[in-house]
Amino acid sequence: MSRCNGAETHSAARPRIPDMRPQLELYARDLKRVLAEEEERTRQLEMANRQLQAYAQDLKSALYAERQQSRELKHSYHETVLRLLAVTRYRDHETGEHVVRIAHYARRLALATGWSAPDAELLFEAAPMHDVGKIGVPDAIIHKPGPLTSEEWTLLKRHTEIGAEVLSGSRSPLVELARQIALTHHERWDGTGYPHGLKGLEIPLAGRVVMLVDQYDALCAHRPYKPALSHAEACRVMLEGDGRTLPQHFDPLLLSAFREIHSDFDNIHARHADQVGLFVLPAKVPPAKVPVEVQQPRSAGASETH
Amino acid sequence: MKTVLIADDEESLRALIETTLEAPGLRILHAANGEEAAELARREHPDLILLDWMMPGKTGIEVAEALRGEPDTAHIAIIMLTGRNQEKDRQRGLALGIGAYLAKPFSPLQLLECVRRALAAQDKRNKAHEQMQRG
Repeated sequence: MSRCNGAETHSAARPRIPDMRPQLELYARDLKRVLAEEEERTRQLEMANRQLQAYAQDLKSALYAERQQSRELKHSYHETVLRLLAVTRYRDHETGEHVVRIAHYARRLALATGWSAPDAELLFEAAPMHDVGKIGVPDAIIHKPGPLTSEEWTLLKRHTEIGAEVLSGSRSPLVELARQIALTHHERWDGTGYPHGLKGLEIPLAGRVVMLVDQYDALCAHRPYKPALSHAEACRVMLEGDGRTLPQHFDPLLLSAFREIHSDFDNIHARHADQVGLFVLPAKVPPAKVPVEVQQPRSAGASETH
Repeated sequence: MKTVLIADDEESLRALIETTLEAPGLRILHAANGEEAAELARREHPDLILLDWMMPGKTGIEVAEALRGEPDTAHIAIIMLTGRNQEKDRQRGLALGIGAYLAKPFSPLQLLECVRRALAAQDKRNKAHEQMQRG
C-alpha cells in the first residue's frame, strides 16, 4: 500500500468535466426556461401595471370633471336662489342685508341648540327665502305706510302660502327646507300665528327658528309706524314682551338659547347693518346696471307715499 | 426542519444537488457510497434520500432494500437516481415501494418538483402516523 500521495491528490483534484457536462447543460436549459418565464411574467405585470395606471388616470379625470360639474351646479343653484331673492327684495324694498342677517342669526341659533354643522348650513341657505311669497302680494299693501285693513292684512298673510307654493315640489333638500320655512315662519308657539295657527311642536323647527330671528330683526329695524329698537330693547321685548310681541310666541328652548347668545345677534346686526340703496348680488353676477335699476322704484315709491 | 440525504459517489453532482435544493429549514447530508448512505440513514433518520443506483460497493438498490427491511428506516422516502439503461431494474425498486425515479442527467426543475412532492407526501404520512398513535 505504498501509493503515491501526489498522484492520489492529483487524481482526486482532477476535474471530471466530461461527466458533468450533460448535467450542466440541463441546468443551463432550465435556467433559460425559468428566465424566459420570468421575463414573460414581468412583461405581463408591466402591462397590467400600465393598464391600471390608465384606469387610474381615467378615474382621476372623471372625478375631476365630476367635481368641477358639481361645483358649477352648486354655484348656479346658489345663484338662482340669490336671483330669486333679488326679485323679492326688488318688490319688498328690503335691503339685501336683512336676508343676510336672517341667514346668520338662524345659523347661529341652530348651532346653539345642537344642530349639526351641515344642517345649520342648509338652514343658512334656506332661511333668506322665507319671504319669497311677497311676490304675490300687491304693491299697495306691501308699501302701505299706514295700518292695514283686515282685508289687506289677510292678503299680506298670504305671502307664507304663496312662498310655499313657489317652492313646492322640489327634490332639493334646500328648496324643501325653504318651503317649510316660508310656510311656517309666522306661526307662533302659542298658536296665535298664521297661516294655520299651528301650536308648539306642530311648527317645524326651522320655522320656529326663522320666526324668532325674523322677529328680532324686525324689532331692530325702523318701520314707518315704529322706530328701530336697540339690541337691548329688542331683547327685553322678546324675553319679557311689550303687549304686541310676547315671550310665549317663541319656542321656550329657542328663546333660552337666544338669551344665552344674544350678544352674537348684536354683533351680526352690526356687521351686516343696512346700507341704504346698496343692492347685494352674488359675487359672480356683477353687472353695474343692477344697482341703478333698483334705486329707481325705491325713490319712486318714496315720492308716492310722502 | 427537514433532512435530505444525498447519496452519490460523484462529489460534484452532490454539490450541484445541494445548491439546487438549498432552502431555509432544510438540512442536507452527503454520502459518497452505499455503506455511508445506509449508516447515515440509520443514525440521522432523514425525511428523504436521493439515492444513486450505481455506486461502487453497495449499490443504491441494495441500500434501499436494507433500509426497507428495518423498522426504524422503513418509512424514509426515497428518490432513485438512475442511469439511462436501467428501465428493467425499476421492477426491483417498485417492489420496494419506491415511486420516484430521476434519470441522470436530470432536469433541476424536475428534481425540485420531485423533492417537493416527496417531502409533502412524507409530511402527510407522518401526520397520519401521529394521529394513529394518538387515536
